[in-house]
Amino acid sequence: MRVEAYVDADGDLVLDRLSEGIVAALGAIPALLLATGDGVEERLLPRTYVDDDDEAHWQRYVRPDLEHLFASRAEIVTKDLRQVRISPDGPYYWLCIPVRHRAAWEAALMGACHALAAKAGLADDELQSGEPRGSDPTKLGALAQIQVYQALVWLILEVGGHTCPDPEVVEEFDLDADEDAAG
Amino acid sequence: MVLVRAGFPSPQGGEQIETETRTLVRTALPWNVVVHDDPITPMSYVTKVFMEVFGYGEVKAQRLMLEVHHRGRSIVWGGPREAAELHCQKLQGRHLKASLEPGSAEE
Repeated sequence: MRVEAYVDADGDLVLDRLSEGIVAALGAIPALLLATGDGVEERLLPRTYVDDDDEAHWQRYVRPDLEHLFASRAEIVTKDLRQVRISPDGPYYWLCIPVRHRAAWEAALMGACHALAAKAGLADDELQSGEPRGSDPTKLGALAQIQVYQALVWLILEVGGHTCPDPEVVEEFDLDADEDAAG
Repeated sequence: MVLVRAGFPSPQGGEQIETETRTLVRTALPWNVVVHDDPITPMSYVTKVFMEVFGYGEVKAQRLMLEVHHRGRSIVWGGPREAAELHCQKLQGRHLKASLEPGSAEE
């Protein structure tokens, strides 16, 4: 499974050779950003202060802004995904991410990783090792999806710095290989 | 601390009455923005966010990212509380696990 990415003449980021599975994974991002329950809020909106009064103030005044930001990103991703096209090269898909949406996509992919980890009940050690205890199929599926999102973030970061559609800047990423380690 | 000494003649015109005023000036302590390690976020993403949110150069951003990775946390910024809250909000908005804690006068 090999995805290609490059920057076009307008500075927009093009993801090419996307499989149907990757497109489906991308389609899940907006719902993940808006998900509630299963510890998702604790992941996406972690505790900020040790002091309870300070934390209550933060939750009251800052949390709504963050929720609004995540909802806005969900809308951006939804809008861009409507432009997914079948690639002329074969049974693949092609997605253009406008340059002004690039940062939103990076953050949306990371948010989706966290929400997915929470929903699947993945513990830190399972995320670190990439191997869930008991080979739980739900966790295995979530881990695979998280790895796709992480790989796409890496790809966007690697390619995004370039501004011309030179074939030299085309990056390929093999989604079966290991990618950037977690920070 | 400001110390003011003032001498006034007594109303009866005898010896002076000396008063002393001490004013303790306590500057607001800085607040630290702390980023915690998590097993999901790629290192390159963390570095980029530090560069964009704080305007750090790549070397400093990478050093802080590695501190988060190896020590589990790093104080990535310190200063007035209002600015610290704004930075923390931006980091959480990018899905980094960030928190705020009071700093010490030495920081």
